[in-house]
Amino acid sequence: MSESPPHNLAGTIDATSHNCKGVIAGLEALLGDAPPGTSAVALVGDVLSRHDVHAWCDRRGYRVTLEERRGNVIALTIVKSRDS
Amino acid sequence: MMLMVSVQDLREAEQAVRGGADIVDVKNLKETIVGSNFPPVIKEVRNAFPRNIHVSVTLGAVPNQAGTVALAVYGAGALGATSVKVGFVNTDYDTALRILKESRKALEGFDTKLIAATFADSHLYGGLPAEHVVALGAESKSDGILIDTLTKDGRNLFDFVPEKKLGELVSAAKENRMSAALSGSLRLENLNTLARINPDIVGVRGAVCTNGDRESGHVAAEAVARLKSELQKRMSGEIDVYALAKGAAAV
Repeated sequence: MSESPPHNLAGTIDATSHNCKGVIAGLEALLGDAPPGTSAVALVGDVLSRHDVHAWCDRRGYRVTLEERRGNVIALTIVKSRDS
Repeated sequence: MMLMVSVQDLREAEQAVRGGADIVDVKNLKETIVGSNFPPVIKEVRNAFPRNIHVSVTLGAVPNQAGTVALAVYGAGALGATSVKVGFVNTDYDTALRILKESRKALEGFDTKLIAATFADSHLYGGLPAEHVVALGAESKSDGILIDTLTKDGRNLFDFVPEKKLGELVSAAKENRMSAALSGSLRLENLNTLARINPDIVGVRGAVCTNGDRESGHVAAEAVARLKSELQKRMSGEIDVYALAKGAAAV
């Protein structure tokens, strides 16, 4: 498998906080207008938001390149695909 | 997913917060089905809780008068509401958009979110189709959308809009960088479906009232806590709502 080129990290969305706008609104704000190849990290505290992120990536043609559990938080690294 | 409980006064708000509500939504059931409450009541509720407890204000189904609505929205901002909900029934799209744009302007300088609301059963009243809410919200730069119901005869949100359509509307709202809220006589037995749709906010009243009666009953902390606990079971994965859906489909 070839090494992926380094991605430009747009930022981190912490969706574990007490905010009405959820993780997708935050990711859209970070990645929506960003150039292909840009990445973002989403921190979610529940399985429904995790499912949301995967479904959104599928619809957008983005990739979840890393998913790890940090205690009660799931950290997902998302890359805006070059061909999306 | 945050739990929003509709309350009529401070006593109900205290019950809602004690039970674990994230948002108390102040409304007035005595003024039509979804009317506004009085400024002193809203102020009293806002002042009773720290800022992490959100206090939303319902304006209900607003008249087709942009100035009148904008002033009411300004009032919600001045009272320190976390959000203000502007709902449309017998309003055409362009008028609703103008009202929301004026409402947006009215909130300048306030830390109050603007929520565009439509009703899933508006076709029964010759009203604005509920699905217009996402375009309305996005075009007016609202912070969020709400889909509710007007009918309070035992039917609820899912009797008027199927899960798939609601899921599409919620996703579209999120992708337009707005929060998405669903309410409308929602009950405990709707939680699996709601969890699959995963709106940012789920709004209830009757389900957490004594005797399950949204009008003659009162919000009860124990009922709120029970609903919140069931919601958390789905959010944590203790109850796997996706597996349940697959199981039902396989039967």
